[in-house]
Amino acid sequence: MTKVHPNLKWNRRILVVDDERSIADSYEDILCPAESVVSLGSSRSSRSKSPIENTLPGAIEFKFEVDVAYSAEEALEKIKQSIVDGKPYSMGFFDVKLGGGMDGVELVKEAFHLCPDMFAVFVTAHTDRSIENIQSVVGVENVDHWDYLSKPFSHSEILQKARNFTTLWNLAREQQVHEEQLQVMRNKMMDNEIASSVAAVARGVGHEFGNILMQIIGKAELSLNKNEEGLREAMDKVLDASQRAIEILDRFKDLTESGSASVEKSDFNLSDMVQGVQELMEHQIKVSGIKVKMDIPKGMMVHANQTSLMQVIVNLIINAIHASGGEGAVDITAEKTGDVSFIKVRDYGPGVDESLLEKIVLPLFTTKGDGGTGLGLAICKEIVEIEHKGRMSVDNASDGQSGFVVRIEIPDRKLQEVA
Amino acid sequence: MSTENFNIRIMVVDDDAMVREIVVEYLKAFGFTNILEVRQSARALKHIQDVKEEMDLVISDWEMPDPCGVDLLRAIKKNPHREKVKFIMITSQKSMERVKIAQAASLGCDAYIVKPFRSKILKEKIYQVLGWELQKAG
Repeated sequence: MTKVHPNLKWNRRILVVDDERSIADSYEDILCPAESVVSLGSSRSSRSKSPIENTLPGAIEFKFEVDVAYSAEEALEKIKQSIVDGKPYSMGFFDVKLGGGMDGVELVKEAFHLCPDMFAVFVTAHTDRSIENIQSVVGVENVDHWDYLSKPFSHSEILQKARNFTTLWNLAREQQVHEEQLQVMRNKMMDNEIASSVAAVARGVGHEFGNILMQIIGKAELSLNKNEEGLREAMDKVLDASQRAIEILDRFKDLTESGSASVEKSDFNLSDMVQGVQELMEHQIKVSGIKVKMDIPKGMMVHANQTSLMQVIVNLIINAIHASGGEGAVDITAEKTGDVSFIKVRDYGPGVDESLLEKIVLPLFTTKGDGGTGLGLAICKEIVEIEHKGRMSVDNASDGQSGFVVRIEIPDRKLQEVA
Repeated sequence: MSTENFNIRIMVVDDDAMVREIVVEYLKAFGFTNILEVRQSARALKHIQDVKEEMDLVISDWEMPDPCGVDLLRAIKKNPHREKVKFIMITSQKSMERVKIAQAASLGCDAYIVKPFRSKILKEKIYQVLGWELQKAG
């Protein structure tokens, strides 16, 4: 994760490349004159001012850091070193004619390759390459990253380009950092949400284990006073209960298998998987008073990350339980048409207001008030559409009865790999 | 201390067959003979409301579809005909346990047992709520 200080330090490093030393050095005079740290609103220093400052009153609000190279080769070395040092150039001024083998345009093409975020300003004479020619060498993809100045140039033109492009570079970086931060937050919330639905299942599993242990302890204790036949009967029950514990534990491991970090997909039997989810959630389902009906062809295979898809089913069942308010049913049906598996989860709750249907799959949107974080359906959609290249849509039931319907399409392996 | 009477009427309510079976077998092993086994809590509620139904002790699971154990507890405690009926609540080990015990206590629950438990615990709780003296050897 990239940490951003509220005052992200702006990068004002500029590379100047010109084979004529006097011109190259003159950029330094323009961009970082002695006594240059003068801001617009501040009172003038009483010390001596450079002539440039006098010609451009208040124009220099900050100091650029200028590096000069006198050949393409030297420039490339400096760019490489700047990347190694973690201090990339935000922009450069490139003379087109550089005397040696590589000219300024080829140099910039190479520089963009090394440093795609960098901006370039070509400094050209009419006799140098045409704009069209520069474009074709540097590449269409970099069209937003360069500009040109015709010789002879004025100081203010140089300053203006320097200021504009360093600002662009820094704004782009700020935006990138913010996007990264947002993504990190989003991932965290998604992980939390998955953890909380797993925790809900875990509570049910805990209850189930309590009952199983009750059976094991009880049968063992009661058998102590029994004859051999009674003892055998009790041990059979103990073993049955232990077997059930093993099965629940296996299912639970499937559900919690390294979560979003695991991307391994396999072909597995959907009906067995949904059955397993139902068994894991038996306690919640029972206490909620709803009936879960499953109609999935035996032997229907799905290509997916089993852990992720289990989490989707868990989330949808939890949603359906919430929507059903103590009674009703959830239908989980599936069918395979060609290369696509269709899964449908339908409850018989009140459904969702038509105006909210589009919003309900967005992160943080919830109809449950304080009762939900609003990530459930967004996570399901992300798992289906991003992880499995499938589709997920939501709608109200259209068969005359009220209810909410979630439709999922999961393509087969080949289609997932192609997409 | 009252004297032991193994003929008292005990209603055992749990929708989980395994747990119910063990509780009933424990009770039989303790010597109780008059046991009413109920799977559905709604039926248990009917038994509570039916004043002709004899009842001295209720042992009920907490987590059941409506009505849940607390609903049964309320039904007992607010019914003047059932004021002498003792109530033991069974629940599973959970983070909410303390809150639940407090809630159950405030509603007049006589004892509370966390699953899984051994027979000795159940016997102690029963003797305690009925005011019987537990023999050390028992």
